Amino acid sequence: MILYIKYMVSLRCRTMVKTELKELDLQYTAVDVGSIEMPKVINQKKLAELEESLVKSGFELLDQKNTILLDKLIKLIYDIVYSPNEMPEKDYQNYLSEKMGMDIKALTTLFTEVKCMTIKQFIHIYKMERVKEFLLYDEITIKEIVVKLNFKSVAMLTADFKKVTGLSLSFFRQLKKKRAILPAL
Amino acid sequence: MLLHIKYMVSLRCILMVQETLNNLGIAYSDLELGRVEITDDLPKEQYDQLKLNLSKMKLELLDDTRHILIEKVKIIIIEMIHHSDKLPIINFSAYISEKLNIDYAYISNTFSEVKGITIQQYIINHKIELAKELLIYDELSIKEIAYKLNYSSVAHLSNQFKKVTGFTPKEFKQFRRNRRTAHENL
Repeated sequence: MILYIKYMVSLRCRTMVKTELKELDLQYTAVDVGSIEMPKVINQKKLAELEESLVKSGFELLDQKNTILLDKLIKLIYDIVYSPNEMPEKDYQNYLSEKMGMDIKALTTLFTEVKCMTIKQFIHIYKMERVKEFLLYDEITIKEIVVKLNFKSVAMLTADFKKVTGLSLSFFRQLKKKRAILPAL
Repeated sequence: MLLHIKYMVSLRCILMVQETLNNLGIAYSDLELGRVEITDDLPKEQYDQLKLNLSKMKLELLDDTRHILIEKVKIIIIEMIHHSDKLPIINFSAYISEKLNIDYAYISNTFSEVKGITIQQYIINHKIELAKELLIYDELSIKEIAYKLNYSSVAHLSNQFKKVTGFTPKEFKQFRRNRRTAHENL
């Protein structure tokens, strides 16, 4: 079960949320910016307790309607980045609006209040994760990655990758080699 | 019990580790890149099984020394950024390697191989997190925040802030206003 929370901006917020979960004796598997993942569904009473405790710390639990919307949006983004085909369009806004059946702009505030970054930036970070995976797992050239993920050029990809990870593409290529020679036990 | 996993650098790795843990019936409470917190201590047998399953996916369970090293680096960085009044002026690499008394090249390489980002980038991300928090509290001006976080100018901070979040600090401040209104509605 996943819960979304507004205004969880920093490390300190994550620590606060974790403490609250522990105090309420709720199990979690991950606490990320704006979300908690739980191994099982919790009952209404517990949920109300959690909500009350979050509000006291200045956070806000998303209601069911918004949770469903946001979940759908994030899954869509995941799907376009991880699709085996090329990314659908350069203009992600139109594409996402169409798939969601509503204007994506109406979801911008909701999204940013939960994830603390723009939708565009979020897609960008996912794309970088995808690049890492291409480099580690797939036999694919840099040029093919550029086409698949809709980068303007190899130079753009290299520069963007460096901005997000601080590392070069070749560092990951080397990592792949190092992993390959890992002795099996 | 905390475990560190080398080469676990992307989202897919997280999913794979999740699956491995579930298959082995190991309960965990916190999973992020390069690191997983296991609820109970693992018996030797299960630990070895986990190690074996991970190595099949080309992931390596870190031995003690390197595992402790990563944790120490993270603690130094978090303390430096989140729990001190002003960041140290000297450069971070010198600061970290002095604190640990280990060659920086070794520290930095191990860190990148485990976390999938450089120490430098990790520090930037944490600085921006703190900047977000300070912006939401709204006690300091953007100029004061830039000074506190050792940026040479407001423009430098804004620039880096935008690279990480997609917003300018000013746009981000807007959230505080939304947040306050949300509270007044209660």
